[in-house]
Amino acid sequence: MDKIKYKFKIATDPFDPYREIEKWEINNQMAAMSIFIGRVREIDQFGSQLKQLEIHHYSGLTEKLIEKHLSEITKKIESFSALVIHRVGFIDPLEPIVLIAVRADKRGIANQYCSEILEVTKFKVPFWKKEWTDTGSSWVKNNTVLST
Amino acid sequence: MKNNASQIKVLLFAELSEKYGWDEKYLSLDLIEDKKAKSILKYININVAHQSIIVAINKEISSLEATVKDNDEVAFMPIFTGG
Repeated sequence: MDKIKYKFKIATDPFDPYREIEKWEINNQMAAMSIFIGRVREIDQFGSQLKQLEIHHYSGLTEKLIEKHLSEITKKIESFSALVIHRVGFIDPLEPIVLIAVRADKRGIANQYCSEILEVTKFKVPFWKKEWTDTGSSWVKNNTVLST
Repeated sequence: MKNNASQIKVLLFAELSEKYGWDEKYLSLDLIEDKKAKSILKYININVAHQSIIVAINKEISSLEATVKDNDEVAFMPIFTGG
């Protein structure tokens, strides 16, 4: 069976990242795998207790931009396979927002592209976050920068 | 409502949509003299810094200087904050 090079999915309902990886792994066995699971923070950008996170996106453009990026990676790297799932809608604190799983034949490639795809979902794709607390809502103005 | 061929579809997203109270409008391109995306933004009275706007035309990332054609879909978006 041909290896599926990448799969991207917008999730409108809660998903179990471990179950998604398990299903995807059946046809995507390689030596190395890197996984990133992003969950909703419990605190909003101003330090208040978060009630829910709301994520909007531009249907059609979102899929196109992520798939274009994944397709470009597959042209450069033969032994590469990725699963990307991103939630939209209303999400509770600590629920998964994003799952990125990358399989490759070397750990360096798996780690590098897992990180790169995450930064693409943060800065290059039309998703927007709105934070809801007991006192109202506010749009997230700037994304967090990559730091250690 | 879409009613003739000489139109463009204009979309606003997220904070822009909430601030201006709409997310989709059809406009006659005849109203936009130079047919540029930045002039559409001015025509629909969106007053935000140009560096904080991302433009897409027909679901391709573009720029405020781009020229728009009949039946194009023009989206004005705030900075992305996903992931």
